[in-house]
Amino acid sequence: MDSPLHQFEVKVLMPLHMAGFDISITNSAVYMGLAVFMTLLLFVAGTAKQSLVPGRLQCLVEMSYEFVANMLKENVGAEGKKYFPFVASVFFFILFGNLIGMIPYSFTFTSQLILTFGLASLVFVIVTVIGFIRHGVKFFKLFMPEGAPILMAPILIPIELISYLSRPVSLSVRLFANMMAGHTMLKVFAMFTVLLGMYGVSTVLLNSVLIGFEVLVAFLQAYVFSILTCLYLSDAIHMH
Amino acid sequence: MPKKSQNNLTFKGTAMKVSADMLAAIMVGAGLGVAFDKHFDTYPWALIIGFIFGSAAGLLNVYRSLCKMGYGLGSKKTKEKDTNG
Repeated sequence: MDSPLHQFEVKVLMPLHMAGFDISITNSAVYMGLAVFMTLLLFVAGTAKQSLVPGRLQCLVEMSYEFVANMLKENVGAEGKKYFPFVASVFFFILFGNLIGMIPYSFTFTSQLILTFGLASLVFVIVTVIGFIRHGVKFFKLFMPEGAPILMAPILIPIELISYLSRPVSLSVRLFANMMAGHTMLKVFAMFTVLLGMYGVSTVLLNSVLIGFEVLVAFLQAYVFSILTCLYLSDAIHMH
Repeated sequence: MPKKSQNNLTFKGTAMKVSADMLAAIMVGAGLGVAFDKHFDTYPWALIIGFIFGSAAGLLNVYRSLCKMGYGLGSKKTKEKDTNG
């Protein structure tokens, strides 16, 4: 029997080397493309008719649009509107990655630490650049709490700096650990089903509950990732 | 975020978030220390200092994220707990 971690293996489907870089097309890359394509398909199909009384698909698209827009409005405020495309792309990319991973025999690309770390670093760099554009040198005030005595600076500044730098790490580790733990658990219980023979019915029941739970986690983690993006944006814009 | 009933699921979410915050800061602090050590050949010292600062930053992260969830000092939830037990 395969190990429960076998499902996370990245396989090269089409070797490709360009200018000294290995940019081979892997199963991870294929599923990422699929996630982008599915998001595009949902939105194109949902907004094709644009009827006044929305159908089911249009309703879904409008609701998901409003969900992200409200999240941005509540956490960042009116200034957050122009960053809607960024937050929405991050949210739908992760959501579709998590949900496609729930289909049996598919690959969950959000269970790869390097991918979640790449996404979180992208968020981190964009938020920092926005902060510098809006506040210039004043952005460094984020690392020195207001009203603190100047003598405390050698201790406070490194602590605040490490706390700021740890954001992409905690953001990526959270998404990665949740997806990886959930999928490993499902696989382990599925193996119990095979090993237990007749009594495997009990683990089948347990697994069906766990799958419902995993779908919830898939939504929740996409939500958590994008709400933290909103909070970091709000920090960079309002500086507190 | 936990609001009404502190059931198992929200508790797991809180624990997951807080532990990731703590771990990430320690990793970044120790990592910066090791990088500094490699560059300037001062082996254990920067690692030790980085680990201490990282731990402090981790506790700060944990405190901040708990404050955001409504568990901060003097918040409603802490008071309720104090009067009950």
